[in-house]
Parts: sequence; structure tokens; C-alpha cells
Amino acid sequence: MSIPKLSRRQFLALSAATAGVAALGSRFVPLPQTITPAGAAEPSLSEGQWIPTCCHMCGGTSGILCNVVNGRVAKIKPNTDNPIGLANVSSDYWQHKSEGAAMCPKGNAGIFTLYDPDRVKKPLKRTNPEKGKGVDPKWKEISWDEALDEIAAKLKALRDNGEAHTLLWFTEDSSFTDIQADFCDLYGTPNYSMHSNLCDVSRKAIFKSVMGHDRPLGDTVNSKYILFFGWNPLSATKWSHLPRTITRGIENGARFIVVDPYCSFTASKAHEWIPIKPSTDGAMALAMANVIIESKLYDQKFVDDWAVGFDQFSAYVKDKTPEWAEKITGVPADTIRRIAREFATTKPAIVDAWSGPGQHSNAVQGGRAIAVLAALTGNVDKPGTIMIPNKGGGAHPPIRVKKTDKPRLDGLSKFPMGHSSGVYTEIISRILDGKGPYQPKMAVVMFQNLVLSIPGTNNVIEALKKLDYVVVDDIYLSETAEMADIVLPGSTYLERYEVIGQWVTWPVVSLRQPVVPPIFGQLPEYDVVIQLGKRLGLKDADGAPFFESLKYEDYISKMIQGGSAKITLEELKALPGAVWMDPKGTQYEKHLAEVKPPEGATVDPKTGSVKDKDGKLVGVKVGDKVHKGFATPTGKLEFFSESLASKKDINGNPIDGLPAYTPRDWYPDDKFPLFLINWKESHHTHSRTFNNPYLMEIQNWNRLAINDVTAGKLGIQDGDEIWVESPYGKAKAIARVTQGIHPEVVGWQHGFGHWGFGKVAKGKGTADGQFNVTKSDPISGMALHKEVCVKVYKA
Amino acid sequence: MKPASTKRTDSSDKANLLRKALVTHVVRNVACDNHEIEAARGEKAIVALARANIYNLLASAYAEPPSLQVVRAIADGTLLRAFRDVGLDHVAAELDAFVPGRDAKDLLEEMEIEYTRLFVAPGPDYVPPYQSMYSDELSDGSTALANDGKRLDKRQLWGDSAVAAERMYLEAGLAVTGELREVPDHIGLELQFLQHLCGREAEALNTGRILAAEESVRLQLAFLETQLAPWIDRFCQAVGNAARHPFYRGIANLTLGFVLSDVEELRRQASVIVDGAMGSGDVCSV
Ligand code: SF4
Repeated sequence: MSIPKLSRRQFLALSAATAGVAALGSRFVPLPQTITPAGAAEPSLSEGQWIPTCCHMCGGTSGILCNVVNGRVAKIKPNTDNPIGLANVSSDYWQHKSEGAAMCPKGNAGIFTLYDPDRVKKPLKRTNPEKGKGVDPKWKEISWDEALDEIAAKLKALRDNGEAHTLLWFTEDSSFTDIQADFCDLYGTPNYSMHSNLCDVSRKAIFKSVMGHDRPLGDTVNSKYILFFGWNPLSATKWSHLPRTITRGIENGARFIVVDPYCSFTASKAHEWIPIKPSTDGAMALAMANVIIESKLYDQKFVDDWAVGFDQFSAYVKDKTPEWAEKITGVPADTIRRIAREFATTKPAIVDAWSGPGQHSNAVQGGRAIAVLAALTGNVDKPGTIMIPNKGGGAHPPIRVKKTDKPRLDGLSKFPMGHSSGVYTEIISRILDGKGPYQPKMAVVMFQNLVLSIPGTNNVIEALKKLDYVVVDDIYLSETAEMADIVLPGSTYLERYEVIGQWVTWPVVSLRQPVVPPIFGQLPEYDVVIQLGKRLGLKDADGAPFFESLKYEDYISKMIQGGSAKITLEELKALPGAVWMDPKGTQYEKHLAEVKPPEGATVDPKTGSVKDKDGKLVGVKVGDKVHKGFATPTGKLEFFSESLASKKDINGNPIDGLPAYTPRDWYPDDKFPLFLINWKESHHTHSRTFNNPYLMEIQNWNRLAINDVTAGKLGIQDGDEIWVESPYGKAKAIARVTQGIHPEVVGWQHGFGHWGFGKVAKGKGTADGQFNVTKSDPISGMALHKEVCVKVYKA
Repeated sequence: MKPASTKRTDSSDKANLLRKALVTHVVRNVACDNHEIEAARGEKAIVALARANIYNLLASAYAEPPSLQVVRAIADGTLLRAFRDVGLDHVAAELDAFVPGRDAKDLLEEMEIEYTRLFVAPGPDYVPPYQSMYSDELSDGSTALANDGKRLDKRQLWGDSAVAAERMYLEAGLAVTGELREVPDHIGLELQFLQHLCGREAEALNTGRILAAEESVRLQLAFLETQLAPWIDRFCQAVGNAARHPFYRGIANLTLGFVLSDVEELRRQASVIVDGAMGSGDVCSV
């Protein structure tokens, strides 16, 4: 590089020669006279301000305080005014609040995400029409107005052409969802989908069908026996209070058992780790029920009063002996017998299951078998058991809209326990096979890396290629953004609002608020939606423009006012820690609340269900009292689900009303002899935290865990480069030889293997989704991240 | 620039601390009667304005995608000549070879893509246009290694350099606009800040406010020395290496050459001011 030395004469010549070539409008404004320069900088200089808000490095929303010094976030610490991060039942929270709360590594590393140099800073437009993995989109910066005008024009053209329903909308599921749903309704597409079906909708279906609530939470602090199937809460934190509430439970005397093919961090802290073959947890649970019933260790009175279908269930499990289960699960019959006895005789006890058993084609029935163990032993909604939370939250602001009558592309309604988040795998499959009711044309993807998160990576890439126009809003140039026509710079949680009202057992409303303005002047996602709605002139059912003068602050203020707090946004901001909570705290055994049935109500003699004259369930008669009951169709806990039994799964197969065990569809065979599973740890969320050096410092590679005996047979040593191969993909990995995994199983941490995203994330580890088939479980629509078999050999 | 006159001397024997203020006070009051000084001041103002223009030109090259005017200035030879004038003949030659027969719109899109690849969209050739990515410490001081044994680059946006830059903007009575917000140590903002200061200097000189002009020069030098100069070298080298398009190679060369020359010139001027005011007693050296 030659560096010219310029004289003053040349300054003049250069200035004259280039006059008019470029003129940058001023990016500065004079400070108001009233603020002296010193005054403008000084007050925030030393200690700055502490602003309460909520973390969103994962979906857990732990309460945090942000120290903003000189307009920059300097420090983040836990906010003890917010129970999320400290406790999930109120007595524990109030008693231990002064001890402080916790943040996980991701929460602690949040500042880097805000200031990550690899963030998307300006709207980008693709100029290379060719799309594909690793194909340079040849981005060109465009202004926000150009970007929004172009997207709005595409949307308008689609709508004017009567094709509004061909718009697909994907979003993360714990941020700015309501306003996006409103947009889709007003625009006229039924295809609004959220992340949940990649996460835990099978668990939602399980608990909804058994106990009428889709996200019960364990009161572990007060428990004496904690039994988890396939869950790693001590490391895969979502809500940073999880580890504390469990270890406190252990300190308080709980025995802690973890059933999992992998000796997760959680299993390593348990009294006992029980290795099991993936997807067979339901069989073990049925055998436990067999022992508990045969030995008369179940809670007869509770079952009589509060459950339906017990007789059918006990008849069904009669031959589901521990020996029967041993053959399926690989867990010794004696172990099953012992765990069953311990569980049934130690009170209070918690049994819970998450994504381990939840991401296979038999997830819902297997999970129901686990959930009914709580009903069998009367461990429901009591201190120290699995709890039905009282959600506080915000209410969706009222909107009058006539929804489109076009069907969804994913056929969600055909999933008997499908979740409102839709079915991503079906969307991808329909785009590819063209067998849907129509071909979608356009997609808006908010804060989602579909390519690395939907099973069957290549299918996702091919599907995205088939769409005419793809908009991605993200803070990184993710592998999905690589497929976009326009990328909008997303906001981080430290730059935007959210109302939070779940994750603990009593009504608590907390606020996420911008602690600094969006650092590149970008629009937060909700404002993008508002701007698009405005440009399209979307109107509600009464013909009133909905987005025209809408401010997101007003929108969420209405949400807060409509929820249990009944206060405004400003009032919430003013509360300590920006948190409102119900002083009544956690309520147990809410099903016992007595209700007065309306005139003309009738009682079902078999179940005790009390229905009003329109057939709506209004309570449950137990003895001579009518109680509120559970939110199931019968008002009771359901060993047998009449409603499920009346339906067919997505493949047209009838569903058993009992939690019957069937093996999952895809089992290891000679060609692909090993189960492949995946998991998460405290230092990463989904696939989205992998450009954070503070987190990559903890773990920057997902080596494939393989049992030492299996490795020995295959001639693989720790640290060897190996091939992992399934019918759908083949890639290199590095072996981690360990005794901490079932011999028939290999597994690794999810989220690695980026080829885009950012310089820190890129090229680290192996992406797991490429080995999978693009399928969901046939009842809930849960993506099958763990139903995959592989062979492994030395590279 | 050489001081306009070195003939007159100040015979008074006041304390050095008071001298500078007094001198400028005298100059301010007598200047309008003195054609020589006025002419010198006028010339200084012209130079300051020229510098403001160049800072604006450079700022615009980094702060926003290229415009059609830039493409035209390439096509019609304006920029070629400008590069030649400052001794960047090889850049001019490259640019010359690049242009002929090209459609202006194609050329514009090509340059927009190049601009975005270099300064906006993180990727293999991204040259982050933020001072913190050059001036700040590579790591947080932790000795922890990632589990591949490597130290990770933990530099982040809005580091100490950004805070320091913003502080100087505020001290100068300027704030980054909310509408076109950027992180304060973006190269475009730092260059444009200097444009503002040079503009102020010119305006002060033109309205006879010598103290204000001097204050602006002092700020320019301080900002250049503490903010822009320490990283401009590495930044421009990186752009020079990553740029595929001769325009951005040329701009990088020009930026580095101009900024370093300007610092040198300002230093020389400052030493003259200090000498004149505090030492030799040369009243007209301003
Ligand atoms: S669990 Fe960690 S990342 Fe998730 S919200 Fe809590 S502190 Fe943040």
C-alpha cells in the first residue's frame, strides 16, 4: 500500500477536484443549549444507572439488572425483585430472596451479544439470484425505507392477487408474538408458526391430556423424591433458578434419579443415573405403574376421587412387567422395581419428562405413561410435586378480525394434539412435495435459524430455495439469512420490550425493556411489523386502520392492563425491579376450589364431571361437593383419554386412549446400528449463541460421545476423527470416548456446525440436523430431532 | 502553512501563562486593520474548508453505500485526476482500466456490493469500521482458552474507544443523531466529526473569532491523536488488502495519506502556536 504524503496545496486541489462527488449529510446534531457538554456526559460517568429488565439469551427470561454507563451496557447482574432466576414457588422466593439470584453463563455473556461485531447492522438485499449453501448472496446495503417499501410491495402484490394465504410466517416463540399473529390475521394468512414445535410441544400435549395444563412445573425445593426422564435442567437451564431449585431440594433431603441414555451434567449430580435406550422411557414408566399397582402402592383415594380410566389402565399394565420393560429399555427389571417402590413410597415426589423422550415418533404416548405416574401416586399440584402454574402474564389486546378460511399449509388441524405453533417439518415437506393445498410463495422469518433447527438440513435449504421471496430478520447472517432475499437487522433483548408472565407457579408479570436504544438505529422486530402493517394499510374487521398510529408501548401497556396485574406499562416500570406479583403467592391444589354449578347443570355418574346445560364442563363432583377440577375434558386426571381415543393421528392410525407403548418408527439396524441423540448445555441456546466468545470459551466443539466398549469394538479412540453417517447425511466429527453414554447410543450437543453466522461460530463442530429425516411426531407435531440412527467409523 | 509574518515582536514581559490569551485578544482586535493577517486568516479558512470537504468525502465513502455521483466521478475522470494529483497514480491507473465501457448502473451495483462486503455484512472480507475493533484490548485479560486451546478475540463493538469518541463529540457540543444512529467510533462518524471541527475553524476564522478557531484546531489535533490516528493505519491497510475494487483501495490509500499528513501539519501548527504564544513572543504567528 502506498501512502501519499499530502501538502496543504494538495488539500486544496483535492477538495476542489472532488467537490460535489459525495456529500454525507450530517450524522451529528448540536446538543441543546441547555445541556452543557460537561453536563451531558458527567452524570452517567461513574456508576451509571441500573435498569431492571429480563434476560433473553434463552427463552427463560430470568430477571436481570443492567448497568448502563455512558450509554453503554457495562454489567449485568441478577434482579432479585424478579423470582425468575431465584425460585418457582413463592414461599421459597420470599424466604430466600435476600440470598441473591442467579444467571447462567449465557446470561452473563449477554453484553457480548449486544456488541457482537458480527451483528447485522443495516438492511441487506440479495443481488445474486442463485441460492444455496455457501453461495455468496452478494449483499447490498439498502436503507430501511427501501427495505420496508420493497417487502411491503411484495406483500401487497401477493394480497392483491388473492394469495395472502401463501405467505408463511415463522417466529421465535417468546418474543413479540402477539403483534405478529395480529399481522398475519389482518393480512390474511393462516400460516403463522412459532418455534415451539421444534422444542417441547409433545410435552405440552402429554400434560395437557393427562392433567389439563400444557406446562406444569416441578416444586423441586419441597420434594423428597425427584425422578426425571430425559431432562438436563442443571445444565440446560431455561430460567436460571432451575439448578438452584433442584439442588435445594436435594439439600432438603430429596433423592434424585435421572433416567437418560446420556450421563448428562444433571445425571452426574443425581443419586442415580439410569441409562436407558432412547424413546423407551414410556415402557419403563408402564412397568413402574405395573409394580405400583400390583404392590398396591398407589394412592387409592386420590385415584378414585381425581382420576378417570384407572381400571382400564391397570388392566393394560398388568402384563407390562419390569421383565417386559427390561427387554425394551435395557434397564434391569430389578432397578425398575426398586425405583417404582421408592417413587411410590416417598412423598412428596415429582416425576417429569422433557425433550429426551419428547422428540421421537412415540413421544406423546410414552410421555403420557410417565405423566400418569404422578396421578397414580397422588403427586399432583401439592407442595413438592408437579404443579399447575397460575399464569399471570398479559392478555392479547382485543382485536376484531375476520380470519381467512384458507387452510394452513402444515395441516395442523389434522394433528390430534397439534400446537398453535404449527408444524415446521410439515411446512418444509409440503413445499418440497407440492402435496399441500397450495404452494407457498413468500416467507417472513423472525429470529429463527430454520436451516440449523429443523431436522433434515438439506430439505430446509431446498425448501427455502423454492420460495419466491424470503425475508429474514436476525441479529446474525445465519445460515437461514444466507437464503434470504432481504435481511433486516434484528434487535437483541437489551434493545427491546417484552411482557413476561410465565415460568413460575404464581402470577408474576415482569418487563423486558430497552436498556439502550437499538445500537445501529435499527427497528425492533415489532416495529418492523407495525411499519409493514402501516404500509399495507391493514384494517380490522370494522375497517379501522390497525397499525396506522400504533405504538408498541401502547400495545403492551394494554397487554399488561388486560392481564392479572391490571396496571399500565408506566406503572409496571415504576415497580421495584419492574415486576408485579400476586401477593397471594403460589396456590396448591387449585382443583379443590369449590364451585357453585349453575342452574340446570348435570353430573356424569361415571366420571363426576359437572356440565352446564350447554354441555360445558363447570366442575367435578367428588363426594357431595363440586370442585373446580382440572382443565381436562372430564375435569379429572386422565389415565384414559376419551378425547384422544376418538381421534386418528396424522398417519390415519387410531390413537389408544391409554398411554400404550409402541416402539418408535426408526430403530437401529445392521446398516445404521446406533441411536443418535442430542442435548443442550448451560452455555448455549439453540443454534444462536455460537458467535459469543465467552460461551465458546466454555465449549466450542460438539465431540460425539460414544461408549468406550462400543468405541473399542469400532477401533475408535478418544479424540479420533470419525465419520458419522445416516441415510440422509454424512459428516466428519471428533470422538469423545466415555462411559457416560449407553453403549447403543452416540450423542452430542446441539447447535454447532455453523458455516455462516459469524467468525467465532463458523466451522466449529458438526451440525446435527443434517442426519435427520424431516418429520414430526404424528400426534403433537413435535419435530423428531432424536429419531435418527447412524453408523460411526474412523475417518 | 507558514505563519504569515514573523517580523513583529511583542516586547511586553507578561507572565507566560497570560500571554496566549492576551496575544489572541490583541490579534482579534487589531486584525481587521491588518491586511496581511486578514489574508493569512482567509487562507487558513480556505484550507480549513478544504479539509472539511475532504473529511466529508472520506466519511461518506465509509458511512454509506456509494452514490451515482461517485460512479459518475469515476467515469468522467474526476476521481482519477484527484487520485493522480495526490500521487496515487497506480490507483488512478487501476480505476482507469476498470471503467471503460461499463454501464453506470452496473458499476454502481458492483460498488454497492463491494461496499457492503467490506464494511457492512460480516463475512470473510469484512473490515469492521469501528475503532474499538482495533484500539481495544484483544481479550478481557482472562487466560482461559477455548477447548481447542486457542485464545478468542473478545473485542466488541462500543468498547472504550467508542465511549471516548462519544465523550469528545459531547464536549464539542455534538451528539450522534438518533435517526441514523451508529456506534460512536464508526470510521464515518470519526471522520465526519473532524469535518465539523474543520468547518467550525473556517467559520471562526471568517468571522474573526480567533480563539474559537484555535480551540477547534486544538480539538482536531486532540481527536486525531487520541482517536483516529492510532487505528487509521491498520484499518486502511485492512481495507487495502480486502478491497477488490480499485475505488476502495484508492480511498483507503487516500484516507491514510490524508489523515497522517493532516496530523503532521496540525502538530507543526500547534508547535508554532505554542512557541509563538508562550516562547518567542511572536504575536502574529497565529
Ligand atoms: S437461563 Fe440463562 S440465558 Fe436463560 S434467561 Fe436465564 S440467565 Fe438468561
